[in-house]
Amino acid sequence: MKYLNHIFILPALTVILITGCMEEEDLDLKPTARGTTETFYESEETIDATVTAAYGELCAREVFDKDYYLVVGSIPADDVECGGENISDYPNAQHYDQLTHTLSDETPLLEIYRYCYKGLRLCNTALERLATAKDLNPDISDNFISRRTGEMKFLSAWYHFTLVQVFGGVPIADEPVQPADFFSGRKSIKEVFSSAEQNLKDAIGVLPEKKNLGAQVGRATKGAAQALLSRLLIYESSYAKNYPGDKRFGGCQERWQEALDYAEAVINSTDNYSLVGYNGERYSSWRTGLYGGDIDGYRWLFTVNGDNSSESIFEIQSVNDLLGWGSTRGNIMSVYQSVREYKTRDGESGDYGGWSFNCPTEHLISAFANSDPRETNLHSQPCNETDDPRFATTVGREGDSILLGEDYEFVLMGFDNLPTGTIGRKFECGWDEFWGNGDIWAGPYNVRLIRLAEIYLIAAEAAVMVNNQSKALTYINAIRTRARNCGTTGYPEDLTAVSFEDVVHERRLELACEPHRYFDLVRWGLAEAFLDGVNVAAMGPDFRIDFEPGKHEFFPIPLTEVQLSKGALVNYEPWQ
Amino acid sequence: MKQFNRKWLSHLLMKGIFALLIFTFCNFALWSQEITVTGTVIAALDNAPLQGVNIIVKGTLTGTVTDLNGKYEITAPSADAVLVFSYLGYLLEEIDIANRTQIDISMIEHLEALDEIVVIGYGVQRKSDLTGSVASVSAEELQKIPYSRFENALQGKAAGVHVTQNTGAPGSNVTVRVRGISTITTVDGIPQGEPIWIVDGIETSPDLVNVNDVESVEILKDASAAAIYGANAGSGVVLITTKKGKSGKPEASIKYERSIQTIPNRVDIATASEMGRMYTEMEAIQGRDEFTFHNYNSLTNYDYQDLIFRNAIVDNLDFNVSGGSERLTAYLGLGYVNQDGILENTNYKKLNIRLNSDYKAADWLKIGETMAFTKSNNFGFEQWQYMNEYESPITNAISVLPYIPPYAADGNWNRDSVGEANPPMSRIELLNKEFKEHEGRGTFYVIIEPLKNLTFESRISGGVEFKDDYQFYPTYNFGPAAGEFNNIPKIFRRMEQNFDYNWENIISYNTVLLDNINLGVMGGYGVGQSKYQQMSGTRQYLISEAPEQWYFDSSSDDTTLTQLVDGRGSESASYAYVGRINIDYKGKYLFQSNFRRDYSSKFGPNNRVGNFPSFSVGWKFSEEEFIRNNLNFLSFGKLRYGWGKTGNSAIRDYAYYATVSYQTHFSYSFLNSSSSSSSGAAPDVLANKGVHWEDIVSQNYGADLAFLGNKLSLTVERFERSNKGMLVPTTIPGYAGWTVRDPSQESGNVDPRPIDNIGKITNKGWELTVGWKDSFGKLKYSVDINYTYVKNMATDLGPDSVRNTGGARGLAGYICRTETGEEVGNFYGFQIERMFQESDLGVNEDGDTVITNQPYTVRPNGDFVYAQRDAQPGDFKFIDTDNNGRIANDDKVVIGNPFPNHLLGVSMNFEYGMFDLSMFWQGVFGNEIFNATKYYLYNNNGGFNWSADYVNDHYRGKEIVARDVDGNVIATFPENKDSENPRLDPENDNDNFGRISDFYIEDGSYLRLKNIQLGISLPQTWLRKVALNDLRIYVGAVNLLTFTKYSGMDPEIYQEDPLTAGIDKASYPQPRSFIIGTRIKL
Repeated sequence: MKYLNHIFILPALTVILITGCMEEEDLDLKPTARGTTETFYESEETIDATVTAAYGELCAREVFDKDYYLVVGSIPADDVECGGENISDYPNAQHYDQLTHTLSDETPLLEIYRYCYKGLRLCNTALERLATAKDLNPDISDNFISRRTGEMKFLSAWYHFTLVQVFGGVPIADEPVQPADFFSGRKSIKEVFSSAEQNLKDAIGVLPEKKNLGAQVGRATKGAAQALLSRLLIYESSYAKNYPGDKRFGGCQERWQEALDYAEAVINSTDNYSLVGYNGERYSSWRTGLYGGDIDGYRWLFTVNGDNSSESIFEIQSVNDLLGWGSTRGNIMSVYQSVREYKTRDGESGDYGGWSFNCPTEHLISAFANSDPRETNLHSQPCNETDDPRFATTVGREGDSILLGEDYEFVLMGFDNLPTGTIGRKFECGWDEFWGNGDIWAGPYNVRLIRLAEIYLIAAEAAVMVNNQSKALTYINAIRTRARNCGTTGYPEDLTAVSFEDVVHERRLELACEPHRYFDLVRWGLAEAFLDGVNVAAMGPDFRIDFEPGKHEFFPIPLTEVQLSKGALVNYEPWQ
Repeated sequence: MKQFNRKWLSHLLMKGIFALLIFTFCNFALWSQEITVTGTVIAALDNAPLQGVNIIVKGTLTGTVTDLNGKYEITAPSADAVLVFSYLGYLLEEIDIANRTQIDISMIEHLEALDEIVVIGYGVQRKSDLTGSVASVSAEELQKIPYSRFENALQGKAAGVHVTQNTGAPGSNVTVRVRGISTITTVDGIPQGEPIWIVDGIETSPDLVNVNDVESVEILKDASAAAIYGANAGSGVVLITTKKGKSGKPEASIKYERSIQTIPNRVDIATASEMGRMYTEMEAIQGRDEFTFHNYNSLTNYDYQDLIFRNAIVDNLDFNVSGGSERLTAYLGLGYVNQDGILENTNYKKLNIRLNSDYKAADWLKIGETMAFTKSNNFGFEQWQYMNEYESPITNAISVLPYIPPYAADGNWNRDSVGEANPPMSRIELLNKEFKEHEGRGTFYVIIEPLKNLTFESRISGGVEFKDDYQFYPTYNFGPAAGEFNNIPKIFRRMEQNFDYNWENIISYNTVLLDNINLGVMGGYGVGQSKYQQMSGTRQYLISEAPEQWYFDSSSDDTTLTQLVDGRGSESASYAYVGRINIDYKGKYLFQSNFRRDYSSKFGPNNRVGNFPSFSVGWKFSEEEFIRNNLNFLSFGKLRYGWGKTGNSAIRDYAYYATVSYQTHFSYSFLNSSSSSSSGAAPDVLANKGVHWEDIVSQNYGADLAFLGNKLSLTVERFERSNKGMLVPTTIPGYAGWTVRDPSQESGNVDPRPIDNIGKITNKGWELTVGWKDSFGKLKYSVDINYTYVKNMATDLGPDSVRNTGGARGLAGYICRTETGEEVGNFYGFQIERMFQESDLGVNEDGDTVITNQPYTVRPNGDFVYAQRDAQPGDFKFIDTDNNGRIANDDKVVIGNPFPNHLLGVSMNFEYGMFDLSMFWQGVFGNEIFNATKYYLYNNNGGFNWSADYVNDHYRGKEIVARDVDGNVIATFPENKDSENPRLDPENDNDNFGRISDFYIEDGSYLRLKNIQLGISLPQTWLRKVALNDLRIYVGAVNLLTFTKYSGMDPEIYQEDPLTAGIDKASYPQPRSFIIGTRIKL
């Protein structure tokens, strides 16, 4: 009988052991609640969702609103100081302001670098899917494909252009970056520009005009692509003109006429774009009460109500969505730039809640008075800075009033520890708009990336360069006329002749505290002249900025990225 | 998914039914000459009957235990079987039945029980035959301290096992590390590197184990032992065996303990008048003649540590009953803890129920089950909140200026207009957050012994876990700033569920070959599947604030767009083959090999298989005659060596898939309207299809020795462990476009970085375990010491060769740095050389008196720029380590490490008649703590309170006099040039405190009297009269004494994430408690 045991049991156990009860294919579990790249992109909606995501990166918290717009684009220039609570507040930004930054001060730069490429990855994923959409689903419309392709090419050019402004030549990401290409070296500025130029030209061919956008005001338009191309062309032209023989700019050419043509294409597109308040129109806004009625166009332009105005060419669409840091589609610029403290009428002080960065300097104030000794050869006469109506919108001084919000009074601003005694006002929000609900990073204020006034000034600059005085006068006086009509002082008066210095000066005033001045000084080759030896008040009277030509034109590629590139990324020589 | 489940289940059922059918059929074919043996077991020393002696039929799992009178009855499958008698503390006896039906034996006491049976995973082994590294912890030792979590009980109990409670909050998570840091990876934000917990053969959360239900605990420390658990054993294995029912008269035991907990140590901060005086000094330095605290001496002091901490009660009740007939036995255990936290408004409750039963259906068939259920409610903040300086009410309590009353005149919470911190009362009183966990597991098993020495065991187990958390936000208003008001009553709820199934089948066979060779083989397979789901949501504008309205259908606004819901889920499946061979030649030469082949759904089709082999050898040299004859003092000696490979599959599910998902941060509002964003979707991970198992290779050298008739026992072990292809997320160049700043917020809880097999961490160390057991007249005593030395190194971190992590409010940059070639988790910062003195002053080229005795650079224009430009006497002199004349980030160096190199545990037990006394000391040495709390207590702008030390002693180059407008002297502050603390500097010229420096580094070593207990057991003669078996009453104290140089509240600091360990932000301290308890056995 014992024999039987062996006969039955051993084979039975063997069967169980050998067959197991799961096979390898049973381990093929598919992700829950997520698509995979193999299955997801089969409809117009899903491809469009990635197009949206490529735009969404513009809202990546603190990157393009604060890191690019303020910390890198504005703070290093002579027109503002870093500000903040004190000299230890946000040390990296302080260092950019003083031009004492080293390779260690990489945070905002790292974010700009990485988020531009993140945006580019999403653009490229969308472009790749759009290119093959018909193969997967013949029902997807041609119109959808060509329009979205144009939008993605515009955004791709924008991300690339931003990278060049900040870092100079960078690797080009024109198609999805495969692991084999992760360690790519930088391309020359000219190569990046050429690639972006081609994308913009493709985009111009397919994108709709702004007036045809309908409710989708945030999308890229033909005008936006033309505007960005005109900007790209004056950068290339300036680099070529002002840095002959500098290897970094090798291949760049002076293409002023092309720049002028693209700028004029936008300017002449009058059914899409016009300067706000050009004829002295006044508008209503949350700030209205402060001035006892409607407010002027220039001031209105820099309110939430001025989002997507007729002057807007491309803006980051910011909304206060209560989603909290990391998820919100709002901007953090407002809280960075708003004043920390206020005083009520009876002299009590309170906490306004802003962080007081980006504070205008005496240099900017003297420029408004046409009396900055560094600016020679201007065709306008010294005046009182407050004569220019743009001043009050740009510079806040102690004693100016600020509106806390609907339920609050107008109060005087009181400053805590501000190095310059001033605060920038262009990006101010009402107290209850960004702080009242505790969602300080979700300012609803759109980030104005390209606006028409800049395109007028590009046209004026290009016209000066091609010696077309009449066009130069037309365009620069258009800007001055609008400014004048926004006030009551008769200033700024029309110019009768335009020099290059007048363009420099007008850009400075019109675009102050926006991300232009530093990049402009660099491309004009004027950075050393305007920055070297300038004092940073927060550092005490002895501190002088030391602008090193050959080094400070561009920020270094962040050290972390240099290290991660396994030697492929090499910084320009002084930064090595 | 559904399809898969059905298929899998039907597959499983079919196979199971098939197997059972076969066995049922086999039943008829079984044939054996059974024999029933009875007898009595007594102790050789005093002939007293021994109760609870384990008797098994050798080579089988058939067994029983002796009853109260030492009597037993056992049925062996054949008359020539061997009975094995084992009893803790006595020598193992093996007796041939030889056709006898009565066998009485007397057992010989054996002070070091090397012959006890230990559980080794898929089997048991005699301790003396072990060749791998296995630590046993006796249940008795574990049960001395009332712990609410099982893992805590292991602290200091075994060499190589490092246990740290993350915070002192009731029910806080515990970090367990076996032999150092095995990985730096995290899955869904949770640091990995914990051992796996195998309870009665099935991987189970330790939450399901009540320490009082435990029979024994074994820790498999090296890979030669742990490889049998292959893929998941890379960080060690803890095997827990729970109590089984014993046949005979039912036995019941009731234990009740009550403890009172207090805060052991406070942070020594300035009183209101000291703070006011310091303020006055600060304002005098600023040149002011109006002072915030003009009459600082009359300020009322509010002791906020007093206000937020309390003495809190813990109640522990345990009840268990065991009994049964010869064929059916059962054990029922029930435990309940109700612990109030020492921080106001915090509480933890836990209930554990366990039912284990065994049924001997036939001599060849045993079936049984274990069922466990636990429910816990944790009321309090989340762990991260206790460790976050912005959130923690404790940080708040020590940093708020102490003059401000907690409540305003109208009864509302107060706000402070002078300092930067408001009183913590609102945070404590608004706390309304509970984490509820319900967990259950049922396991059913069958053991069949068709032949002598051949057993087949099948075990099927299912577990469920439900979590249900809520946080309620009432409306309140005590000020206009963020956090000071809430207009919207809302409820947040999150529910999670996890299911898993396991089925394991094992065959084992033992035989003796050629008389001298004992051969054991085991083989089997297991399958497992688990499924996780989570849902969470917020509902605003509740109808009322009453708890019955804390539901999602209770809103006065049914249209609001801010009802946010979220959720996710995942599942995984795996199966494995296991095998083992044991060979022992002449009982002296030992060999064991374990093997496991694992398959897992976590890896792509080409990488699913992982093989985990191991072997170990041992030589019982004390059995050699030449040793036995010559070395009389040596009672036992064994040398052993083991090598093995274990694995790690700690990555998120589906890591090899390129997933695409809709995420908020991908959306964009083309309409510029907060109510209409277009939803965006995109690939959210860069998948690495090639990711595969991580291998962890370890080697172990060991010696087990016993001397003087086993009075003294000694184990020495040397271990080396390193990973091969550690699974870590790889940071790829930003150019690739996959960056996110914070995966938890920005990428829908998915870290977009590809997981790659790149890293390598090495841990090397020594372990020493010494035991001494003796008696001295009526005094019996024992001392057990375990000591561990361990050191780790991040041998390779792949492309991320430097990982900067960890920060604290007010301090610029990262605190921790893990770098290739260095220890994991180093603190990294500036070194302070000394304080600048007046003798360092000189005249610079502008004619100003500045500190000239310091590094400088020379500008092209010839200007000298000093490294610490604005330093003055009384400021820290930081070391310019790279000698470039600047103090910059490049000057940071390693300034400490949070992981102790030396671990110590010492237990002492004394017994004298009816009295017993036990002590347990635990300590860690050689680690540093980054005391981030010091930032608040030394910061110099008056936003926070100061430490008493800084107020009373800081550098003053000359006397400072505070005068009011009229010139009246308010206060004078004398010169004090000898101080070690920097000057008070409201301008913060030198940034003495804002830099991460060794000013914050303190020695974190401590030695703690973790437990001391004195008990009295009433004599049996008294007890019999009241029908009790045993009554013990005891008093004790936990954390009574701590010896440490550390100045913070508690040197036992969070260690869970190796990359940010050891930063003290005044987290919840471990309480000191005093216990009174009683245990009654019926």
